[in-house]
Amino acid sequence: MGPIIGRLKKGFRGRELTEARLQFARFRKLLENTRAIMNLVEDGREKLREEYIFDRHYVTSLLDGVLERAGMLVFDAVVLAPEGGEALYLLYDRLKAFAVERFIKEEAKEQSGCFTPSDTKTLPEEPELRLLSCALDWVTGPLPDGEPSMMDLVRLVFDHTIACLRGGSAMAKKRLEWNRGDTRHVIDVVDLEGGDVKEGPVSGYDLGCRPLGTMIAGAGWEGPRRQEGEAKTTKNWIAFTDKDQLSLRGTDDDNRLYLEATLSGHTDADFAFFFAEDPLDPKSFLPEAFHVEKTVLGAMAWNYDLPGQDMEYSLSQLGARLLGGM
Amino acid sequence: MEERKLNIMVIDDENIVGKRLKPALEKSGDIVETFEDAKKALERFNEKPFDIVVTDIRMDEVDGIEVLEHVLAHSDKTKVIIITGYATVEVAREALAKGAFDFIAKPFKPNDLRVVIERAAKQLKN
Amino acid sequence: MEQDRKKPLDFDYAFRLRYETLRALMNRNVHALQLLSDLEADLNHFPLLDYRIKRPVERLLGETLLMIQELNLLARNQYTELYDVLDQIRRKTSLILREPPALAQKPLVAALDEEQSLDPALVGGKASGVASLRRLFPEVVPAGFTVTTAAYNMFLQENGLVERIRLMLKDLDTTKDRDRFSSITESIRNMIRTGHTPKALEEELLGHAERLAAAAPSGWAVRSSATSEDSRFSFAGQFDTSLGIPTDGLIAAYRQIVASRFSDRAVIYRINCGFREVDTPMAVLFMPMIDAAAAGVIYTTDPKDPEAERMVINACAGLGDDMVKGIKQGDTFYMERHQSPVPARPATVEKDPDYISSDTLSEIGTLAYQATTAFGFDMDIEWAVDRQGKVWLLQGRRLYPATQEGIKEARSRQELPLIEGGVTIFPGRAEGQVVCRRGEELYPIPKGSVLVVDQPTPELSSLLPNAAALLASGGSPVGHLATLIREFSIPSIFQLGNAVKRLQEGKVVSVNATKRRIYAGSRWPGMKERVLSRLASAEKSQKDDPLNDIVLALHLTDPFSSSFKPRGCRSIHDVIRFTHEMSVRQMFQFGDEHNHLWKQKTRRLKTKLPMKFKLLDLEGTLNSGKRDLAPADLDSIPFNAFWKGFSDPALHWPERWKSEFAGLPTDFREQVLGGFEGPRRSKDANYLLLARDYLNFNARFAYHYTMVDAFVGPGDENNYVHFRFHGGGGSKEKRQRRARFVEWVLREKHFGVDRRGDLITAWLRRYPQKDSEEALEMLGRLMVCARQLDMLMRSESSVKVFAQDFLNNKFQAFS
Repeated sequence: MGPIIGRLKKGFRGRELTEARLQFARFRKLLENTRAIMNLVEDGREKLREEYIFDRHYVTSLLDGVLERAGMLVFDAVVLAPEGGEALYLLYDRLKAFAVERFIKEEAKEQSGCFTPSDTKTLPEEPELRLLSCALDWVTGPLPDGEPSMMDLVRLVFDHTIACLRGGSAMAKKRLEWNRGDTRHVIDVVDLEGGDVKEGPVSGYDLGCRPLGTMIAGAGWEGPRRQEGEAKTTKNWIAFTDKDQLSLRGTDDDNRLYLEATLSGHTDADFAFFFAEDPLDPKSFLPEAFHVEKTVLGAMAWNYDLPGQDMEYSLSQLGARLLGGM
Repeated sequence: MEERKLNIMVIDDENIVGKRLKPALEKSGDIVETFEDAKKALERFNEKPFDIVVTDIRMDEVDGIEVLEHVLAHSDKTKVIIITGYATVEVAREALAKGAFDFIAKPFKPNDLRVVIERAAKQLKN
Repeated sequence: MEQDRKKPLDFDYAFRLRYETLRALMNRNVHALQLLSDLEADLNHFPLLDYRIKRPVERLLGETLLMIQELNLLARNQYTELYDVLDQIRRKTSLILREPPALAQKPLVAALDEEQSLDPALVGGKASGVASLRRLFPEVVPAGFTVTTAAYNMFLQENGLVERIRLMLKDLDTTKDRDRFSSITESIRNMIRTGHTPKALEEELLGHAERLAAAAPSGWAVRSSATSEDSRFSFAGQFDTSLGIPTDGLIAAYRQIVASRFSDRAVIYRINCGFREVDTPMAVLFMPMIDAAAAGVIYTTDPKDPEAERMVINACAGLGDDMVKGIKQGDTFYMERHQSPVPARPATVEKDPDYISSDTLSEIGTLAYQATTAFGFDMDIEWAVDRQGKVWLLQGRRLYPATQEGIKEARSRQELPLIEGGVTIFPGRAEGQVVCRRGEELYPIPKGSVLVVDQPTPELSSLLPNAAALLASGGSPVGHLATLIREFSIPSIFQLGNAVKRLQEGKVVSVNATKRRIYAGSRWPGMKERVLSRLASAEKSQKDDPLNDIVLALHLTDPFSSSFKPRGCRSIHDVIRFTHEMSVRQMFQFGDEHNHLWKQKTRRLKTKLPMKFKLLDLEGTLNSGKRDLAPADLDSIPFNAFWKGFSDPALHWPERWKSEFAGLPTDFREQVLGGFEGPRRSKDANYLLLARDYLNFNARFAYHYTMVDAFVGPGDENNYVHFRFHGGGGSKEKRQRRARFVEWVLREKHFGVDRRGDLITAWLRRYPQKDSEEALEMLGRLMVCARQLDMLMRSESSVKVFAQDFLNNKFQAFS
């Protein structure tokens, strides 16, 4: 065991639920940090695009923000999965040293951080613009000569972490199941709020979880008794829920999917994140609004800043494709 | 509503700010003078009245709060808009408490400033 | 580049993880404290169920959960109990924040005769009182209309003032610097006066005025009509009234009245009484002016003697305004509570006044009696008689007379009173130390003081929550302060004349306001406790924000008390405080064999100062191999800045000579020389955690605890300087004064500050390296200067004096 003792003692009351909550909260934090990096990049792109008035200071603090968030991201990842986290820190330190040397230090020249433009892309003339443009390229990559970009670190973090999210079905107290087409779906539900719940089969509307309710509605589910067709295959899922948050994971070896979603009606809070381990192709079932990024283990996709109704639509489409007849 | 040209003064010791703001603000027909040196700006202010003064809060020689105080001491009609590099509560509050019309945080779009200026102009007419 | 790819030789993953865990925890701690502080301010501006309240509470719970996990990672699951403690708090908050708010379209202007004018939340207490009075007496109460609280909210919003006002009043300390405070309130008033009035509001207001134009030949009376959760509080006299306003001046008058909501005394009153900005939006009442020949107030019961079964009329010639403001003393008449009462002239008035007839007084008495019978409670009603002799009722509100228990007679004793006489404003007994306040001195008074003043002006209202009793040499029983005194139920005597000079500051006196007698010394056993418990319960009911106790309040203030344990945490703030303290202790548990690696990395810092420092190098960047390091060996941006201030030769260290005795045995030094002051004795070192861009300094000296936690690097997105300061050896009062001194200095230096008693939490975030370094240097000096200052804080004024000395670099004052 590494230096981090992630597991709570056996005798601890409510151990499983606490561990589930910690894992849930920590992974959300990891996503929040990822999203913060994306937002910073997007903010920088917007500044370039829309002729903003900014100074060098803006670029420095943007990169600073990226580095801080990336540090937090790595930390979240090693708390979730301590084993082998060393590699993440080594890469992080290397990236940080590069950024400080080439972009942040007072002496850093406006083009010193730029890699030789490998294509026809021309750099802007004004020094502040050029510095920002180079810094953003460095964050997102890909870079020539196998030089790692910040995005490479982010991808590595997800590949490192995703396996630790498996498991947890044993603690579920509610079960939701139905047939669609020739597939039988079984969802074990863990209520993170930990309220007193009746055990056994439940109706989708009793779940008290907006994103899962929306997905189920999208899948055309109309009640526990109504089942169509003869099931040839079974898909098993586990869902961690509270009022407006959902973590839904496919637990079968050929269906390793991880979905994190918040649906609260507040644009700044709502998002959906998706990770699909190979050989699943997320493009085959994700609605268009998702941005897809390939990693070594699979692919990840996310979607945020959508107004509540659009997010609702996105989730119900996702429900139809994941939990419906497919 | 009658349209009157506004006299606007922009003070910032980084030249990119004045350079990009001037054409953007002049688009709507107002008269814009830009200064990198706050001292020179204040001398100019003593010669000629301005309706609106836009000033950075952090400058080496004379800072934005001093500009604000100078301007308000000489003309109670002028609206002062402060540009802050880091929108901290304290700096913004100090500026507002000392009579600044409003503040705008960098980075911003010229048009964001335009909106603040229009609001100030509305009050000037009252 | 090739070399970078290799793993550095000294890379120690286990060590790195502990460091990153601590960093994450410290960072989260700062963030959580910031959330707490913002939440506290926002609770004043947004309703409880607003998303802007719910969301930060959820985020706080999330951050705290992760902090607990991080502590348990450092402490090998020693504190798993905290998970359960936090979960219980979470359940409580979700109960409080459950129901969805109901939203409805509210009118901007309401005529007094409309049904909705009876709703005090819409039209304010004053206007709803007038509206119900007018239903009873349509002929006697003038018609009028109210610009509602909905209009007020719209006005603020359209002018973008909600955010700006919130910003300016946030963390504002009313007692620190009156000038600064006044300039802030003045700019708020100015923003309102120069604001633009929404078109819809303007049209509606003028439309209503037009319809009543015939009834207003002498113009309009425009008055504030404030709201609060508790209608027992009237905000009497806290806002302006404008009289004789012509119709074309109504819009400006409206803005003027709204602006008066942010007068110094109104803001102080709200802050001191714990009213939240959102609970107190303002409506404005417009009524035609009555051209008054006489005016006054009638009470349907004698507030000073409820058992006397009589009504009291105060009257004066002309407008009643000066009398109500306390400037003019009117005449007083009594009459029995009866359908057609006969007024009795009190003995002090020699002949009947010429401005009002006995019949008219009787007519007013009849109306008041009918009103009190119809409403079922006692009232005070403002009245006026116009030049034609017609009686008008202008306002009416519920009167809260003294309780029976409060006026129970004290058993008489032989001693002669120090003072006898005056006019009872609110009966009852109290005792406490005499505190005199004059004119504009609004510095807070200690809880349970007997407040002595010359003129009872409304400004004093801010001091009432702490007063056991109030004694005044002048004053009018119908003035605004008198109304407030009744609301606060504070035993008070006015019009004591020069006799108040016999009361010496700091001496304990016993006041019997019922019998109008004041005695020297403590006269009634158990009275002091009763006074204090009354004040405490009053405070509690004002600050009964349900989130306060389980989210914001800090109950765990003393880390060395026995209640400082997981189960002692009652609020989120407690959990954060506990987690932070334990994580710092965790870093230095050297005895633990698992922590062997820490021991290897610990260094001693050799300095000339009479303090010991243990040093932990977190990133292995300070590697010199030596066990003892000098400050100059350290290459840490925040440390270097901090040390520059802390070791400034201009600062005075009275203990400095003690280091000359270094050759003596430690025990001897401690016994003979008293050692180093404070519970952390010389053998307990002060702890420094360092990295190139990070500093965490925990010091315990001269009986107080300080902590500096800072991250400072070239960019400023992550830079922060965080400071905590707590405790001391002086009395509680002196410690609090010192804390106010520290607060003052920090605010001047642009820190965000949260002060609770003598606990200071301060932060400076996202400033450039240079500013952050300057702040750290200043903190270094401040820590040394404040070290023993609690002993020197002899009076209230020393707070300001020392703050100014410090800010002007006059350090010799701190020797």
